[in-house]
Amino acid sequence: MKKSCIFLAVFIFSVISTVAQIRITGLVKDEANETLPGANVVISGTTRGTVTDIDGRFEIAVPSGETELIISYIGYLEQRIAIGDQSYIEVTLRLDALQMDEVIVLGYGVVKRSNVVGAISSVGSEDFQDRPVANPVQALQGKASGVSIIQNSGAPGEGAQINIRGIGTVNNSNPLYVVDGIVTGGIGHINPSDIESVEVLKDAASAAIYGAKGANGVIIVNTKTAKTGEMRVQADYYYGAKQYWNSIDMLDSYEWHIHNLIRSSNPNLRNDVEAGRDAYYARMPNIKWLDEISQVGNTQRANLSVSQGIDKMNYYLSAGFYDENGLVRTSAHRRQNLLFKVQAKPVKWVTLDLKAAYQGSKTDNVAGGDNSIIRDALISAPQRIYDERDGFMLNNPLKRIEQNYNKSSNDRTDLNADLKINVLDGLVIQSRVGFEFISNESDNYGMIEPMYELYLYELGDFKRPSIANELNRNKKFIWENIVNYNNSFGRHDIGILAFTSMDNFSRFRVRGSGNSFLYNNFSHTALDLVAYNRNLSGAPESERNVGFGGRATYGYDNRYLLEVNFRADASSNFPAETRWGYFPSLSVGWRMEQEAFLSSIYWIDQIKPRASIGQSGNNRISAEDQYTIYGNNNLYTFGTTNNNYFYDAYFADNIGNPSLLWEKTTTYNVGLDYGFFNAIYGSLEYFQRYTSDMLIRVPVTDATGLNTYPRQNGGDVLNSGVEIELGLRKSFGHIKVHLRGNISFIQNKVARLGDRDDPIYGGGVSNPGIGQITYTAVGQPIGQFYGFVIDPVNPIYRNRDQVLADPLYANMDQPSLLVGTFKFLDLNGDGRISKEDKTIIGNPHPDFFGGFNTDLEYKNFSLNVFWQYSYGNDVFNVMKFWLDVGGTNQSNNGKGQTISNKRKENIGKFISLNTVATYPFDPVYNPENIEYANLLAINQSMVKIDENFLDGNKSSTFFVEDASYLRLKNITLSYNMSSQLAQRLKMSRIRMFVGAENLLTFTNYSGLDPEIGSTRAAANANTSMGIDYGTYPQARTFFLGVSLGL
Amino acid sequence: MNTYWIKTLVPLLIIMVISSCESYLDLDVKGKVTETDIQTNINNLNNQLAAVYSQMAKNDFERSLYRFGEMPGDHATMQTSDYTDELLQLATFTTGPANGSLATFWKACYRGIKAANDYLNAHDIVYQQWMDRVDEIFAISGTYSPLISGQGTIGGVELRTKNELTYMAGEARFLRAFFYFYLVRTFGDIPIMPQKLVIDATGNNFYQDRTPVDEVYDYIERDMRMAMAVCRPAFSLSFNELKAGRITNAAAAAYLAKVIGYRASSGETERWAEIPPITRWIYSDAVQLSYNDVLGPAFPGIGWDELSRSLYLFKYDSIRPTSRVNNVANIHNQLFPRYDMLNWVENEFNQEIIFSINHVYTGDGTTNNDNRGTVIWNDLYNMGSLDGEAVPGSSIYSASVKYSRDYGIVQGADRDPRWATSTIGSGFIPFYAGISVSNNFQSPTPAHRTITKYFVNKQQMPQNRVNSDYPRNIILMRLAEVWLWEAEALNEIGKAGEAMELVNRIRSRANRLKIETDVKSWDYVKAIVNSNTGVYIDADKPVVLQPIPLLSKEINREAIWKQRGIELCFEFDRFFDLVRTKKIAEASTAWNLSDGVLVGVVPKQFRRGINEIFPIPQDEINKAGGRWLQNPGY
Repeated sequence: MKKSCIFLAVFIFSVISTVAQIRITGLVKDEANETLPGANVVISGTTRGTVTDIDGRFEIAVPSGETELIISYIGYLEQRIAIGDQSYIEVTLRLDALQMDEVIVLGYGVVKRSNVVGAISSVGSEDFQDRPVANPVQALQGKASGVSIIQNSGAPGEGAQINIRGIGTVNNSNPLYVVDGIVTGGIGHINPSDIESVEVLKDAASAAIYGAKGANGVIIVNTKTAKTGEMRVQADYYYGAKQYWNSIDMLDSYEWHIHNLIRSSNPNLRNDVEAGRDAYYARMPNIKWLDEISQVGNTQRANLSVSQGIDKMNYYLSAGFYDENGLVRTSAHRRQNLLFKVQAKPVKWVTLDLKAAYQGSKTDNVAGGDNSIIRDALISAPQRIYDERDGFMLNNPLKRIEQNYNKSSNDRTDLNADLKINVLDGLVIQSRVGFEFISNESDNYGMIEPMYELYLYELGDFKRPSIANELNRNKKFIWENIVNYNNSFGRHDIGILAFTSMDNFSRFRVRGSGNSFLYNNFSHTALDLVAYNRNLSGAPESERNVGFGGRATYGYDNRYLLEVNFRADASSNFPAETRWGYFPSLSVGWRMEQEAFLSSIYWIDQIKPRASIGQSGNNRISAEDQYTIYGNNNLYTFGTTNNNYFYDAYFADNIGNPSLLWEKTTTYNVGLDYGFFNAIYGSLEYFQRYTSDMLIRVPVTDATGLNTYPRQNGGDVLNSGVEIELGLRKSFGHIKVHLRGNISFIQNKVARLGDRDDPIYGGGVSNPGIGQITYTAVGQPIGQFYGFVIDPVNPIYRNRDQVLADPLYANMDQPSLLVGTFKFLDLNGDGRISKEDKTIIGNPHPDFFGGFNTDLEYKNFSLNVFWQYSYGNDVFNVMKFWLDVGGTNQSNNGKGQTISNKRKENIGKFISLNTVATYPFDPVYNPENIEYANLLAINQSMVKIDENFLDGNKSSTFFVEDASYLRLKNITLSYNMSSQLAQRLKMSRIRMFVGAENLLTFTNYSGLDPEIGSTRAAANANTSMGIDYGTYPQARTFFLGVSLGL
Repeated sequence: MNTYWIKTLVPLLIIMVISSCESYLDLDVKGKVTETDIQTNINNLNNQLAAVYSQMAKNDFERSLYRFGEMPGDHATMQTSDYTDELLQLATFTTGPANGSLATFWKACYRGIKAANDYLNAHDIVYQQWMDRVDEIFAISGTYSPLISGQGTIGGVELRTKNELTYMAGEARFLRAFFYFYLVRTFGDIPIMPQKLVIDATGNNFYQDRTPVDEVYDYIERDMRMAMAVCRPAFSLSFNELKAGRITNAAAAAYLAKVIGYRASSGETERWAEIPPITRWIYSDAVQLSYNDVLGPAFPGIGWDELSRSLYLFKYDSIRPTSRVNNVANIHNQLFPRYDMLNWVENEFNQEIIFSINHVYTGDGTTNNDNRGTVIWNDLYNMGSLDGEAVPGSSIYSASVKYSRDYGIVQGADRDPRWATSTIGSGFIPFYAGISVSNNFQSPTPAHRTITKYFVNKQQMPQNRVNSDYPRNIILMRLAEVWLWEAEALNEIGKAGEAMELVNRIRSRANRLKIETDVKSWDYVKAIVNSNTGVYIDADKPVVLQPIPLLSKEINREAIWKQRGIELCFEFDRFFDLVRTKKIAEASTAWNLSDGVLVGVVPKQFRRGINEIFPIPQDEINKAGGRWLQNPGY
């Protein structure tokens, strides 16, 4: 008790010690003889230190008895200077191309880069600082090899689909996130300005320490901590304006009318034209709905941080504010971040780290997915007028935005405490706890159409304003205890780590919805006002995990490296008999450059071959799967209409599997790290990931009466690939160059799906009713597009004779129905078109992808150019149906249907241009006319050919497009004001920057944006990738900003 | 610095965490009802039994009733030539195995079977728990007699529970047999699923071979007989009771007779002879049956102890194989007097109705509840929609010309009053004020009529039209059908006189409408009826049906079948009756000659030996992994 009081006292009143001191001054320069402001000068073995001023000078009080100073600066080799009796020290730091001494954060520990034996990619804070992005994940895109990041859409607040080294499972394949040592659900909430570094653990040897959660790789994020030395205040701000980088030209009002006329063969319209009334259409307003619903978006972020290191304690305090208004009106995302970190060392052998982080965000959503507002805007008839009282505007996308209110907010608090005790030299005992409180709210409100305000109606439910509110509260507690021992005995380096981990997660969800009687007032909505269709749902949910494990590392003579990891995990999600899983790994490395036969070659800095094998797991299934769950979603009534008694009807749609096991992923990895001339560096990796016991729903016959296929450990998936990273970092006089590039080739193949290898279908397109379009089958990658192949030579039957000439249709009763339809290939040659003729028609996953980064620095200027690319990925472009083929626009409760507007480039396909001189079309319908056949194609291919022999499913090569792209993701030019000038402005540092995001995109894709992720929940995302429903495109953003050091 | 406390504490904590793991991880799944949660008490059984019943009221099942029972038959006509229409394919025998309606029906039935199986598994467990309590009670009170009488409570246990539990097992058995019956007569050989589905790492029992038709019928018969032996006696129900709609022993007996009738072929006598005692037991107190009589034929070689256990007969009751099975007791002893009003909401649960799918109007605004309104209304009459108002529009099917030719148009002896009240032609009074009736609703030919038997009566409009909350029950078994079964059986076993007596009683009930017209003029009656009672009569005055004379067995048989056709018209059995009586080929040809020549109507392409049953849904064949062969010809 007494001790703890002292402890507290020390913590609160950290007093600057007052032992005998000597003062040392010095100067830090680089190889170009330029001074380095902001370099760290630390007294070895302490946290005491300072930083160099704008002239690169420092002054430090060194207690007597301390013997060494450590001078370091990012990107430069660290130098240790013996103090001796010097009072002035001048240091020249050498550029460190390889950064081999950089410390890499592994699970439960750290390691020097030179000793890494696993496959790990690192991304530093410089990759986050100037990017106008809300979510750190966006800034990771293209930076690390083997890490595929596909932004789901460009909507504010939207997430991304992340796959590390291919897709290991058809289930949730998101990586595990670890923030400051604490396992958490994601990193989207983190302020990018607070990020110090990100490590991506890619192979199982590195991830095995995370056991049952590590199968899909681990992303470790470390937030900034205080630098030693005096108080630093840092303020950053940028502002960006967003606009579309791409557009689609649509028919204007007049053209649309003519198109409409030909398509619908509506006699009234025909008469209009014949009577010359078509001129009227030419005078109709010509509305570009996408413009109407769009705005110049903007984005801004402000950040203020204060940090200071005092004798026995340091702190870092940061406050951030992010604000984004999207391309589509009302879509927005706002976020506030607070981070407070304190590190105290009350006595030499104790370190206490405390962290408190708060994040609050609000997102205003617009409709996406199957009901995308972008799609609505593109295909809405161009002539309708926006008018409060005009029934014409019923189906107006602008109205749709204004009448729907869909907000979500997220509040999150993280509290971490971490106590480290140095028991002996090299032996550290550590205990840490983390609390996580997350609450999500969503608030939806749908107005009624103004039309119904004018009439007295017997209101159906759909005409009443609708309200839906949902509240999710998540709590998580995690406690870990770690014992770490590191020591060297002669040439032997030994490290031993052991830990235990337990966590407890609980969630509570409540949702209420209904229809109100109050009209059209957003601000007064509440569930209390629900008068009709009151619906309430909600449930608790919980999960607990325990685990223990350890790591042993052994190094001999700095040459031979060996690492063994082991973890055992148990989760309440699995049945008691099977819940323990054991995850071992082994890796070896050889630092060849340390060998005598290479050490004489001066230009070799590093040659490190390494290999690893390991296993990790995936526990992300629902705890329900082991149970047979009875649901109450129906009832049956006995008695008569006037006198009856209800019984809730409990029925089990699923069957619980009490013998479920973890999914396991075994990874084999061989790699080579290299560095030459202290300039060129990089790595090569080859890996194989084998996921076994993949949890899938194995199809069973309907005769079982089950609605949900039972979950079984039935699948195997193989991913293999090559990753190459290459960098060049060198100074050429005053020009500093840093080039980095990476490329990843990853192949994905399903090896087994249940006992009978039944394929898994996914990616439903309900509007238009194409149905499921992806196909996951043995021998194929996950989530392939699946459908008919259209004859490349004669894609369309232009007339009845062509149909009759095709032996496929010789026996059809009404072959004329097929005029204008796509000619599908009879792949299996059985003389008919049936669903057996469907085949794989596209692959949403790229053949290779990566990024290329150029940093150039000349005196005070620096230029960053970052390209990102993806090659060979296909997109299933649902928009082609709306923009090129047919369909009516029938959102908004089926009211006010119109034929969808079309892409302008199709104009020649609709209208016989020869006859434009008199009439815009030939009023005599000529079925032999090719153009007419084309329009029949438009008319019928998607609508009429819903023939049984096609099984009602028309997915075809028509929709699949190559969406390879190369994108100038970011270009930033920044100017570091000279220190003298900055000083004159009473600042220590002033940096200004200007740049653009998504400035250039090279692609052949016909839609608004080739980067299409998935709009589905994580558990289904991989079987529904790359479907463009009219996806909210990513914006081109021009931004400028300033960064001030006070 | 003393660090020993730390050095000891931390490993201690580690040990604590690990040692407490197992119980820490035993976390119940929250907010969900699991198998172990629900199989715990008697009240929960009611909720699981309701799930079995509710499978009948599901849209998928009710739609299948007309899709398979009427559309392929000769009483219905679809006016479309659109071969892509799955329903047209069913109606014209052009369907392939990919037709979605097949899978819908198949799945709907198997969902019902699963619900019944799940129920019976739960029943086993709960019943055992209850019996354990009963034994405890015996230990206290020393007597079982209050239990046997089913009166009062002991130790908080409601003693009438004994009977309820026995009834409920019977209800589940009935429903299981009921769903299998629909399957077997539609698809032929079908897999009988195990009562308990098992899934584990070493395999599961999901994939069953197809069972031959005859064995399926054995299985159905066993369940039906057990249900007949133990279900709630029909006399305990009356129109206003909260238990109305529960399956009774009369329902089980009637379906038993029907199942036996489906297995019996014309000319043989053994099976036909089984029917009359069962049917008479339903409507006459004079006939009494013992457990032996009811169960004996289906359970050869099975001891009474075992049998009574699986019937959940209370072990301390002195029930013996020779004991009398509860009688129906005069509830279903006569036909409802008015054929034309038999189907009204007001007349639900009348004396003639033995089994119906229950629907109620709730008015509480709940949605997604199949039980509160039947989908058939929506499908047949609410196709067009004017702001949610019901519009009789392009109904999925209407009465065929052949139907009218057989029973209505031809002048003479058989212008049947039932024809006029079961359908409606052109020129009738618009049935809902303010809504004009579309042309489609009126027939293209005078003979081509809209089916009104169930739904289009003025008073019978759904109270909440927007959600088609239409409370009308779907009648699936009534006394007239029981009599027709009995008549057919009697005729086959050489008792033609008794047979025709029953048939003529049914015919004379149809004349009730005629009796009223004798008092007033026909036009007057028609006007009154149309304006007040909601029955639409648009045809000429019907003839008085005369008794059918006794003739040869073959002629009687034809006459009985013809009576089935009109008495039970549009009650979802026509196609199966045609198949059973081997008249489907002939009827299809005749239909082609009458309806098939109409513009926009596609001829039936019936193939003998193939189209008597429908194909197994293709997806099921695929998922069964080659275990099942498709029905021949598909």
